[in-house]
Amino acid sequence: MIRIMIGLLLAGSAFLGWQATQQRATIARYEAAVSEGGEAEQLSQRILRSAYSYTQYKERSAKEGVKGDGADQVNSYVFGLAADPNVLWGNPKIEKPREQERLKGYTDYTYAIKPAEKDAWFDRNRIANFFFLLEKNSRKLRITSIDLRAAQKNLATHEIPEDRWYVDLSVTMRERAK
Amino acid sequence: MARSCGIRIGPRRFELVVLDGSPKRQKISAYYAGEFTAEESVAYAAGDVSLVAEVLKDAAVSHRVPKENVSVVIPSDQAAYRRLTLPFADRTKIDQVIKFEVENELPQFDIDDVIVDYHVMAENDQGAELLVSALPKDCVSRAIQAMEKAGLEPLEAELESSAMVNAALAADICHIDNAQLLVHVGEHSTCVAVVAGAEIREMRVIHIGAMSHLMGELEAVVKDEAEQDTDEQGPAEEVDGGDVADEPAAPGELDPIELNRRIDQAIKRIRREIGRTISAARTAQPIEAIYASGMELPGLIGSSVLDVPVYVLDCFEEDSGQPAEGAGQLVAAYGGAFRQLGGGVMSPSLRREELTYSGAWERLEFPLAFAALMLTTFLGMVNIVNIRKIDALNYTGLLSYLRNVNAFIVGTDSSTARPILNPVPKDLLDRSKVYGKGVKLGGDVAEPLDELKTIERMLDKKVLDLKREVGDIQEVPLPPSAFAAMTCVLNVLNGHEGWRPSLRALNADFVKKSGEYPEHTKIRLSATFFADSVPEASNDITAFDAALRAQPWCLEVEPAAVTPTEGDKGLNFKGKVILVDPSKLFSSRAN
Repeated sequence: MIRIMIGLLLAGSAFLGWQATQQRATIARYEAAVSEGGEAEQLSQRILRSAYSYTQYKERSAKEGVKGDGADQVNSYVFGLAADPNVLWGNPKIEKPREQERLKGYTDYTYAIKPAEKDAWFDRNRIANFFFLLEKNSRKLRITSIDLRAAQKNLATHEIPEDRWYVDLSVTMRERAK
Repeated sequence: MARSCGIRIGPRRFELVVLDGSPKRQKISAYYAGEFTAEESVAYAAGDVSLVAEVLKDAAVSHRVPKENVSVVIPSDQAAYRRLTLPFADRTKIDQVIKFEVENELPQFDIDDVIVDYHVMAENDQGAELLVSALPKDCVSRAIQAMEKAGLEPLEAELESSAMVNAALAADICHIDNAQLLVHVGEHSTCVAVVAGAEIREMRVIHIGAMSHLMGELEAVVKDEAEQDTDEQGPAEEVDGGDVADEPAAPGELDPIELNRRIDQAIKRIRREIGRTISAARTAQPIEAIYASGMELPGLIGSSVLDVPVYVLDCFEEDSGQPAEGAGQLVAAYGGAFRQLGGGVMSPSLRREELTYSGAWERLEFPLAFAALMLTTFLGMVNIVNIRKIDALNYTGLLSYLRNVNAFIVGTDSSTARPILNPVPKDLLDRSKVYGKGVKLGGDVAEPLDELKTIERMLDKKVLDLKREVGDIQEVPLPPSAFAAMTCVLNVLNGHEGWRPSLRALNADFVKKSGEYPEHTKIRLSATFFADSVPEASNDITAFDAALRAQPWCLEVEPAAVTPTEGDKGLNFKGKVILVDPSKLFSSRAN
């Protein structure tokens, strides 16, 4: 009986000793954490910095032009910018996206954009504003093709063209190949 | 109340006494004296303990003998006693040398085959005077085997002489101013102890007992067995029976006159040996009495030897449960039981060598148990103190950090200040509510430091997702921007004050990675360079090409065919190819 008791007590002591060691380690960690410049203070500062970053990125995310994927998103994005007072392109024609694997592992979705009317021309400011806004308001989308021509008929080589231009363009969204 | 048992196992008989009480006051709760049959005795003497064990087992069961705290008393038939003087009294040293010292005194034994025990009769600075007893190991092991087979675990074994002395000294018959002779009559031997001034002075064995005349009976059994199975058995064991054993004969073969003659001879011899012992005793006090115990010898009690009266050794307290008659035969068993209760002057230990290891363990058991209990208690208290410390650090230190962080990032109900997180994620808001007032840490509620780490991880993941969403982390490489490439080229075209270019058309297209060039944009430029003369315009175009080639983003410029304008006031070119890598524009700016 007494030997069983000794065995149980020694087993209990071993467990309690192990527990005590763990607890000492925890106490040492907590004491270091609450000390000046300790882990708790550093963690708190990092969390506050991350919280500020979160809010800033949330604001930037709200300004992203192309929300999510798909042609509908691109169409509405382009139409929105075309209606900008500094652009005023009307409702340009946006063709269905063309899928190409131009870089291995990625698929490019290219949307050809043309003015609504065939002979529609624009001055340089409106063209530049449109291009600028297209790339500024989205980090997903790039203009990958531009065709810019003087709109003036029978322009001689020694003549200076008027500020009237025909323009076609293509924008591309690149995604990982599925 | 302590309970002990002493069992004497003789060659023909056994006695047991069960005591309840303490060394100072005890009561006999059971006693029994039994006799083995001749077959049992012969088998036991030959080393087969099974028959004797059965008899002992029956007796133990019927008299409720305790299985623990039992002592076995062994007859002195084959024992030898010697006096020995050593120049030291340290028990450890004595234990180490006793066998070597006594070896020369015991020529009849191989020292490795005997158990040697001792009693310190006197000791001082110069040394110690010992009464040494020696007994063949097989005598002890046979008795212990019989006991163990009977289901009894003898804690100790001793000779009947020491058991008798312990019983007598406890009975207050030995005083400081006189001497006594203690006699225990066994079946085949009689042991004698001289006690002077209440201290043991001498012991010896007389190799004749109350049943020595019956040894022929045993030999007859042995002979019968030998005749039944002469092929398997050798000659029958001879039993040393002294003078009487010289004339072995079964009692049934003797006429009563011869039997009485032999009994008388045995008694006379015992009386003669007792007389010799009295004569040889060197005691300061006169021997005032002989106290006899063990088996009764007709005519011994009440007689006198050399004018010393013989009394029965009545060592039992009055009304302590002893039998009215024949109590003398229980003395040895009583001495063994009394010793197990913690009493007795002599403390012989014939199991000393055998129990060295277990004795050490048993001595250690209680201190070890106590130490283990203390250790467990101490560690338990350490645990409690540690838990309180951890709680204090959690509730007064780390929880404050966590609450303040939560108040800053998700806000509180009471605070009107705007939280840093905007919008506040629902999961973080829910987590912050857990750590409000009255929070109980533990279980599903993580400790504050761990919670702070969890919040940091969650926020970092959210920020990472947002970075991906807004494009700060480009997991997908974007294609080169034709708009950026066009702007680069037009910027160079417009970059020199002396030039007068006029743009006619510009086409920019994406080009896949090929050869040494990464993904890039191919620009076809149509323009007119006005000047005062054609050579001047040509110089300007050459300078324009050179300026393009000087740009880090320019991969290649192909010359184009030029045509003079009307009036030779300039040069016109169409479809000048310029390869542009816009990504270089941003890296060169960074540099």
